[in-house]
Amino acid sequence: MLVRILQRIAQSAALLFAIATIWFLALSLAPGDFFDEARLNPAASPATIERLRVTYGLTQPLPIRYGHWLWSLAHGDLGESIAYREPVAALLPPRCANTLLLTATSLVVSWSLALSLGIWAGAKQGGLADWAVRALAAILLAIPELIAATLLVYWAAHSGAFPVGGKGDSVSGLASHMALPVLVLTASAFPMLFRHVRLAVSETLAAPYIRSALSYGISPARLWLRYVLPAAANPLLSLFGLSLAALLSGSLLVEVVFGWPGLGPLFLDALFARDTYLLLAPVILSSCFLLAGNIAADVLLLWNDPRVAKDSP
Amino acid sequence: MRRALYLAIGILCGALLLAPVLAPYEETAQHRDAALQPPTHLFLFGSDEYGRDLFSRFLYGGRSALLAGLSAALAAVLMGFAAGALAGFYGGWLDAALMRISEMFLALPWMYLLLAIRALLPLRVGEAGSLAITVSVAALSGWPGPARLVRGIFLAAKQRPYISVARYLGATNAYIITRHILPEVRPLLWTQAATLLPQFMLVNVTLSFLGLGEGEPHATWGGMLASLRHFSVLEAHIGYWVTAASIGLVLFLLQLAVDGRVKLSVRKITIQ
Repeated sequence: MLVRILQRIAQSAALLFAIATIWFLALSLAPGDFFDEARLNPAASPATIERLRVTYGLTQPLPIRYGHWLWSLAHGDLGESIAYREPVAALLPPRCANTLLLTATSLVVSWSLALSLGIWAGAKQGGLADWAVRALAAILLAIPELIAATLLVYWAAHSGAFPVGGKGDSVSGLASHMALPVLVLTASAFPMLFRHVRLAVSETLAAPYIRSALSYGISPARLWLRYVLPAAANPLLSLFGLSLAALLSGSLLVEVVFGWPGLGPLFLDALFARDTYLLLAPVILSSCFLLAGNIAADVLLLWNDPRVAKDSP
Repeated sequence: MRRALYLAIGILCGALLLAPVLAPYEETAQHRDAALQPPTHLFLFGSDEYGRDLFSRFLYGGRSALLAGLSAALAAVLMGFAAGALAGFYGGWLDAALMRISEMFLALPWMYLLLAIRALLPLRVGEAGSLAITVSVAALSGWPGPARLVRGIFLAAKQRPYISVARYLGATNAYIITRHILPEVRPLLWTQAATLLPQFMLVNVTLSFLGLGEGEPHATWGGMLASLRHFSVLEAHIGYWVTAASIGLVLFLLQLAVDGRVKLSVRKITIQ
């Protein structure tokens, strides 16, 4: 089992290298660079711009740039942002922290809601409450994140009920700034999670061994904790790994709409400005999360269900 | 209930596609003396800051989003069919390789693909560029789902006696795939295309929302949504709100109609 996990990590590392290389090539081969806009500025002479391009190594041939970049990357140096004139490694941590604050909160909220409502609806299938929550999930699923976020921003700016943009200074300010983005992220994550939880619970409850356990007359607490939930947890553990994987990348759009100072706006600005190294760092970082989350999903599954290790060759 | 929903969507999509006929004004026609009007009988959704009719622009923008979504869904399903058929019919290392690649793409968030492909192109793109981005993102992120389902059907179909008989009678592989297995796969392909359509329309809308797709003066749903973020909405301009709500309603109805058409499936373990 350990060997398999190690293999999986090696595969992911290779994939990470491929992703980083593809992005580097895409950005380098794309037309234009950071100083294109400076050329329109009459105050900057062509000689100055050319000197700046030399300083930032933009005039070197592609293979040499790629080699330099890989070499620095291997030494933990993410490069320097041209726009901010700062090392990328210094710019990222506060942005990452903000993004994680948002996504981790919504992960906790959406999973607690999905688990409690999903187990409840799965146990009381066919009832009015089950129907109501399922209808709610179907409606929430159909509302696009972009539309919900945009309309909420409009409403907040209009009514003044919630602040828009930034993250606030005090704790209460932070909470009021976070409320709407977290609401949108939760509403978009909840329906799928809820459906999976409900399906897993209802499928487990229908299994023959549950019926026989019931006929032995065991207590409801033991039935749920020992028989139903561990068996129902299997698909949910993979799903949880995928939720972890999306921690750095899942909120990009919502951050941009709400003006939250996370990775999303930084990434988009860097894309517009063609600030190559500032753009590559979040890509690599969130790809790491993505791959780690996928591995975590598999490890959790192996840990919960020894049958899996036997089944998959 | 469901039939009424389908009917409503049919009418809506028809209206969007017929935008050049139905729209009361040209897409870019400006009426500077009637800027920022609330909804009236002259301007059904009101007018924007250049005095352009928001209802006409809603129709035109919807048309380009719908066309982009349709071609994107078609591209993804075709690519999924090709990959699934190859993997399921020929099996062996081809099957293993294609399935491994599909897992990789399943785990990749589409937003990243969108931005990566976008980064390859110059900063300003026209309608063709925006369409090309939507279609390529769709094809790359949408093919694994259909491919896996198609592969399953092919694997099952390959075992059937009439396939062996057809082969014995001298039928070529291409003939067997198109005449004997394709009819079995076709309904699945249509459902897949339908479920992908709202997602890919949203990809197109997101692209123009972020200012990375087709730009002014052309009407795009994303562009119209983005104007809600402009400071002028603080002056309570109801027209932008009506437009955004209508865009939301169309996308909502589309997603609602295709919801529940496919079964839930959690990714299977992939440790090797």
